[in-house]
Amino acid sequence: MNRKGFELSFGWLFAILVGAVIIFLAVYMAGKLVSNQNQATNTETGKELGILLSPVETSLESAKLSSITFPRDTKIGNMCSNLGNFGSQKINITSDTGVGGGDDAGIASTFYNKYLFSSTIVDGKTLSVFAKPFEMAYKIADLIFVWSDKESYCFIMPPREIEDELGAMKPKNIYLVDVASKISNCSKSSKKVCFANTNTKCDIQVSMASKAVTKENKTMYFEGALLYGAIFASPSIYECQVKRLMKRNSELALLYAGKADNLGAKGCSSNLQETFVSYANHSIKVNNSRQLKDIQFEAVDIARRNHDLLCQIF
Amino acid sequence: MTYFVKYSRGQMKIQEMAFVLMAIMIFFAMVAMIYISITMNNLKQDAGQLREQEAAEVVRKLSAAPEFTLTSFSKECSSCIDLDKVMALKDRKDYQGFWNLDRLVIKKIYPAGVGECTSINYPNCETITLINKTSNYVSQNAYVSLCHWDPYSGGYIKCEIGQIYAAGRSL
Repeated sequence: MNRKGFELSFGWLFAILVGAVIIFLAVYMAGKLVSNQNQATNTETGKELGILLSPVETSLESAKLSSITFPRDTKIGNMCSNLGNFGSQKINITSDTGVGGGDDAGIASTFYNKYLFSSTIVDGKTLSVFAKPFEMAYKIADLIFVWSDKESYCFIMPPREIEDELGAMKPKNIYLVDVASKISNCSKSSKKVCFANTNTKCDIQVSMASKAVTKENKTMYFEGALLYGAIFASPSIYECQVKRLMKRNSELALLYAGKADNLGAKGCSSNLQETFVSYANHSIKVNNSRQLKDIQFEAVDIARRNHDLLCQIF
Repeated sequence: MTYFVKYSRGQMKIQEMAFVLMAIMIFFAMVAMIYISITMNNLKQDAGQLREQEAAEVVRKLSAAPEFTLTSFSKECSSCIDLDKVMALKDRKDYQGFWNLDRLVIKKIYPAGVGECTSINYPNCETITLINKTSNYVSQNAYVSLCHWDPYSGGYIKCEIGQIYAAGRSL
């Protein structure tokens, strides 16, 4: 009987153990490197997207439509914070690179002068970007509405001005239906935006009379271009952006108060300084979209008084 | 008397292996360090480029920003900056981080002025420095019309030629 068997010497055991550790470390490091590279790429893409949103903003135009295409399916995280003087808009990107799992979200890029209205996560390869100025007496900011090629909206019986605007620009994945009974013409996957009827099939209900949009069982109030914001954005994003806009409105009002002071020193008094300061104080206290109506009331009064001035402030 | 230590063959092999392992680890560590330094360098360059790109886009669109644009009387000038508004903006520190810039200067080109604008010498001055956080910068610029309310001849909006200079955040 052969009793000799296979004998593992210390050298062999040592080599196997160390070899296994080296291979494990190499695989782990390779995974980490790929993950870090993905994260860096996503961070850069997030910043680039933010930069690309600048040319989309309007100057003299009443609205602007563009599209941005990514090389592959991408998730854009829209985060809004209302901390600080202006609050902030954060954008982060998670792109499926096909290597290393593809769920390495990039570090969020922060912008203070952008107002993005979209779902919390926009998922798709092509983004439709629609920009409109938001005014309350004067222009406060450009609002940017974003939706992807995977989302579609069906506007049922929109008011004439919306029909004309969207009809002229023909944005991708937005369909207009002019007869309420033809709600069945909307594709099943589209979000149905009803303006004049309260059909149970409607995902989003708009009341132009009370300037309110009901979505996900929450009611948001709007003024001017914020109507689109309430339609396209998640309610939490919308309310946060409204607060940010009111913060900027407050800063702008103080700026105009300063300008009124400067012009007064040059011999062109407007007596609007106190009105601007009071408008700024009221704007910064806005906590939700329901209070927009009061601010709009003040804005109309300021616009009227400014219009009658010899040297207008705005 | 001299003594020689004699290692067994097994001990020699273990020592050899230990040295080889050390050499492998040092080699991998060096490769990793070179890779990380190259990656970091590229990342830094990319970040710098993105910041310059951001500054260029900001400069291009700044004259349309509500804080700068001229809206009173004439509403049809997309590249007109309201200097009266900008002078008020100069006093407001809240805007320092608003555009992600380290330097933002408005300069009058024609007719030429002299010195930094203050409430005393405005509008007969050359530059309005709104942000000045760095001395090491690559600036982007754009030509604009600088407009202000002139009280002479009954009061009118007077526009002059100027430039905006902006530099992105430094690393």
